[in-house]
Amino acid sequence: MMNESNPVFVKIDKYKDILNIVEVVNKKVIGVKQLLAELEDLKDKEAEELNNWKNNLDQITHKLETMQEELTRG
Amino acid sequence: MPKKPDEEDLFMRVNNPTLIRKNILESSKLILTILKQTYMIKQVREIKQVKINDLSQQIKELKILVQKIEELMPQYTKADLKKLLPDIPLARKSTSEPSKAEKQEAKEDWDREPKPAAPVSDMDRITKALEDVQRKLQTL
Repeated sequence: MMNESNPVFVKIDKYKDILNIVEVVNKKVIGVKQLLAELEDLKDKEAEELNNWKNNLDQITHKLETMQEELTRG
Repeated sequence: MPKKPDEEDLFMRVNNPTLIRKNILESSKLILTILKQTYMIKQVREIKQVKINDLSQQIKELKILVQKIEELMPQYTKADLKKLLPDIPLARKSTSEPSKAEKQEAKEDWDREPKPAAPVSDMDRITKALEDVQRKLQTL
């Protein structure tokens, strides 16, 4: 088991490899964050479109009701 | 030929035809708008799917990279190893090849060890990996 009081020693070449990988990981994490933000935007856009869809359907229902009322009143 | 009285066309009075026509046209317009919105939603979902696939790929790569870091980092300190394996002198790793008998013994040990069941899906593998990480974290 590892703890803070007992340091480990890493070969210098491996240490450099680790640093390089950490750098790549950092870049990838930034990319992933960007992707998530884009997905969030798309999700909002989709929700907005669905909301418009619902509003338009409500309007159609209202118009049909008016028409039906007008036709049956005759 | 004149129609018989029971075959005569019947008519219903529509008081406000303009309103009805207007409503029909507006409803058509709204239906077309909905159709357009359906295509837009479909398009957004397709883009979303591409992004999700990309995200999944990036996460897989991240997992590999983190695993690589884990592999490169020593698991035990010298003191830990002394505690865990007190009878074995901590010398440099021998570069010589293991003998045939050693190889055979290692193979038998490997065969004797109970093998974990093969994970059935990606989800199972991820769950198993998560459990492993949690176990490791608890031992730290």
